[in-house]
Amino acid sequence: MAGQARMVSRSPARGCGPTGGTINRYSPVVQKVDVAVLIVDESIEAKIRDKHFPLTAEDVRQTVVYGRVISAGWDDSDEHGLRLVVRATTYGGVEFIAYLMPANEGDPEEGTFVLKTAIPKPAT
Amino acid sequence: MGIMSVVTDMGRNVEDEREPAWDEAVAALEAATPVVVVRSPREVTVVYRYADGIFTATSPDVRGFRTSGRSLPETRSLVRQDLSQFLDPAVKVLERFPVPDREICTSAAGCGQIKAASLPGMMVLSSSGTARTFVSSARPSLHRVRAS
Repeated sequence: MAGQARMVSRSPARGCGPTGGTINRYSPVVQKVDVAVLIVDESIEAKIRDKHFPLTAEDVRQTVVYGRVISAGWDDSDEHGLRLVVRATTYGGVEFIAYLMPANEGDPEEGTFVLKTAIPKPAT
Repeated sequence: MGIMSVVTDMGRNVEDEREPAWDEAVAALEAATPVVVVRSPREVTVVYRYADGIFTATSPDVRGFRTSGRSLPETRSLVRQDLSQFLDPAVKVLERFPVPDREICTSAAGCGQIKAASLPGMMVLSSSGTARTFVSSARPSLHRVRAS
């Protein structure tokens, strides 16, 4: 998929999911998200492997799909758009925060995400 | 905003993007709209192997996972303990057991032929389904066939 440009309409559909309603930072209702599939681009995989050893994109994928998640939330910025921020710990014990972009921006709660980056917790 | 925008995200050089520091990422998470991560039905596979008197369990779904034990029940117990700390409680564990490489064939009075695997700690059934026996490599002198 690298090198391909795609046109998306972000604003009108942003935050609208199958449960209705928009994702509102001040909403008292806690949203539910199912990360069923995480797509990892080769460039992201290489970046994480090079910059954040021993964390790997595969570790991140396994953890967000199968593992216990410490916390997660929707981050909606003008620069990056809507992203799911997930904090979790890999099987190997590396705590990280990952930024996931919904693959289908028209339906962010569909369950398919694209890994944008992951940052491991610095060793103390 | 209501403005159509063109995102060339996939083609962007990831090196050009400034990556947030850990503290920035924590702050972003704290400021984000909280969500609960739920799981649709899914499972991880654990494969058991037996060699040289040791059972080893690995998983193609969990990188780095490897557990060993002296018996199958012990190894399964260790697997459950280990994975329960990592896996979301909603994720099921699918276990694949080793296929016996040879069979012990004998006959039991009135029960037809009994096939017993060579693996220790494995419960086997007679071909008629009426007789049970327990084969243990640790106590080879007790390889008796009990027919009910």
